[in-house]
Amino acid sequence: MMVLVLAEHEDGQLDAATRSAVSAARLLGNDVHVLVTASEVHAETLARQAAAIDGVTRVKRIAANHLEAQLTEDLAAQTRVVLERGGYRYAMMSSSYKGKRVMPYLAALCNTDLTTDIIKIESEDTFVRPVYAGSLRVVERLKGAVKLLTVRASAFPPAGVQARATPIEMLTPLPSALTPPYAIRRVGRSSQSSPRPELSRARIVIGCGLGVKKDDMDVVEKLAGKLNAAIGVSRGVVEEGMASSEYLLGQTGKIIAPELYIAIGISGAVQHMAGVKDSKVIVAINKDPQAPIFQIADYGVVGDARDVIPALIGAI
Amino acid sequence: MKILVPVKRVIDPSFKVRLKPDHSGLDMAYMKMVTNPYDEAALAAALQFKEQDAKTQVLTVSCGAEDSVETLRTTLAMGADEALFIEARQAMSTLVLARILKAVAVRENCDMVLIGRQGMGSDGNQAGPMLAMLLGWPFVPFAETLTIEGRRVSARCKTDHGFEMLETTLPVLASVEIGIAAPRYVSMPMLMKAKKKQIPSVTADELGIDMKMNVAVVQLREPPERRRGVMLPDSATLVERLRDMQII
Repeated sequence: MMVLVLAEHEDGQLDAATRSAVSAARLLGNDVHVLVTASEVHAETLARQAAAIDGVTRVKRIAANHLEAQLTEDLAAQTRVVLERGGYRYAMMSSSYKGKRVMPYLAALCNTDLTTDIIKIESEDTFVRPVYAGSLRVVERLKGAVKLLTVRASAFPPAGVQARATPIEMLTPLPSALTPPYAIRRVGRSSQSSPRPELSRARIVIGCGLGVKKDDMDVVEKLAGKLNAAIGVSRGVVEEGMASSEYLLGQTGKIIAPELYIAIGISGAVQHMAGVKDSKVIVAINKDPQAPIFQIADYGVVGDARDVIPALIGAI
Repeated sequence: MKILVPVKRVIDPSFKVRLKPDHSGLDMAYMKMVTNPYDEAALAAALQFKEQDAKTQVLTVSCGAEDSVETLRTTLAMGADEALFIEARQAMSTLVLARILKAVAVRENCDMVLIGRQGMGSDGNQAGPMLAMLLGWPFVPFAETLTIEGRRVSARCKTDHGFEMLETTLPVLASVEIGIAAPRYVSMPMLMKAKKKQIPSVTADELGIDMKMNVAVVQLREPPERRRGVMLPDSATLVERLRDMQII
């Protein structure tokens, strides 16, 4: 059974999410190909990184300078050709921002539906995905010759490395899918200068609620630095104007599933709990022993954030 | 310019959803319904464009059961010029929905679609990209900001590694992040005025939509409950525990 995994990358580095997509792909078939679509500068190094992922049997690489911008229209068009020629039964990507824009577009291009953000594979055509920010799960069955999926990276452990020589096949790129009058250009992007890991990908996340006062944010930053953690906040903190909504955790903000989530001074509103409850281990620190957050926490410490955070820093 | 804003009626995200005891569907008792917050942000962004240019028209559309008309009524009270209700009795996949929205965008001569990046609850992130593809319009995903000058469109879009700046021209489809614009509040006089407006309806059949879909919901499940853990006396014990588990 042939499965195609679309590689995700930035600046010539393959994303860890691709490794998770490969491990999900291996549950569906034993012939797992990775498609690398990149600029001429990065395509070969990316193809080698993909070839070294355990379980990958072939890498297909498409290099063209217009692919540097990784526009949805181009990635979908290139992938469709590969799918049509290759006899694949599945195509998948992680449910990252990129996966969420490319795979549904590709599905429409192939005139098919897809299942997104799967956390479990029940059978060759049946998949489980969370809905209502994880409060419920829906089991979906896909029909069609090629099944398109996005997978939640945190639900599938990233595949390791392999030493065997995996063939890398070079494919001819299509011309840009974007010709006038429907042109679109990427004219800039953020640099990766932030010292903190991105919230939805961090291994450890610290969440701050209104129990953390403005003056204590420095200590939280210090704790985050020590743990290499990302910092998120509750709705109350955003509403008080202490943080931008970009850092909001919960159903209307970021839904996270890190290895460790430390909720400090967060009481645990329904939307917040929905967005963090898939974390592997949850630690709650709150001065109110009745706070609802303790109901979903693996470990709880009752205490004021102001005392507990410095003590934590001291103990680590 | 004419902007189409599809809106979805969803369960208020501050309510905890549960299944009926027989797991046949969601237990809708005591649930409050609201406009999908992402679509509300899309509508607010469309209304900003309307305020910049009085010739801009904003059309909202909702597809579903009869109660979606109420959601559309709220969008009129917020400032949309017109609303269109698509009556749909049976379940449909997102691709079918995208086909319907395409038919509406074409029929109504729209130049722009602003759509919430996801429906709160279904959490799919599918309708925007599918509709962009079906229309053949440039796709601006996860827009955090959006500006229009003449027919030129520029956007700052969220990515896995931060953001990117995209430039294109109308017609365009943008899926928007919740922060793109603050939602509009509905005043009582606006709501009274909106009540007098007609909301026309059309069925998928009348639009000649291919209803074929190849995804089906097999079952809804509750996730395994997270068990309440243990209370620890102090931070030192906590750190020790996390070390034992090799988490830190």
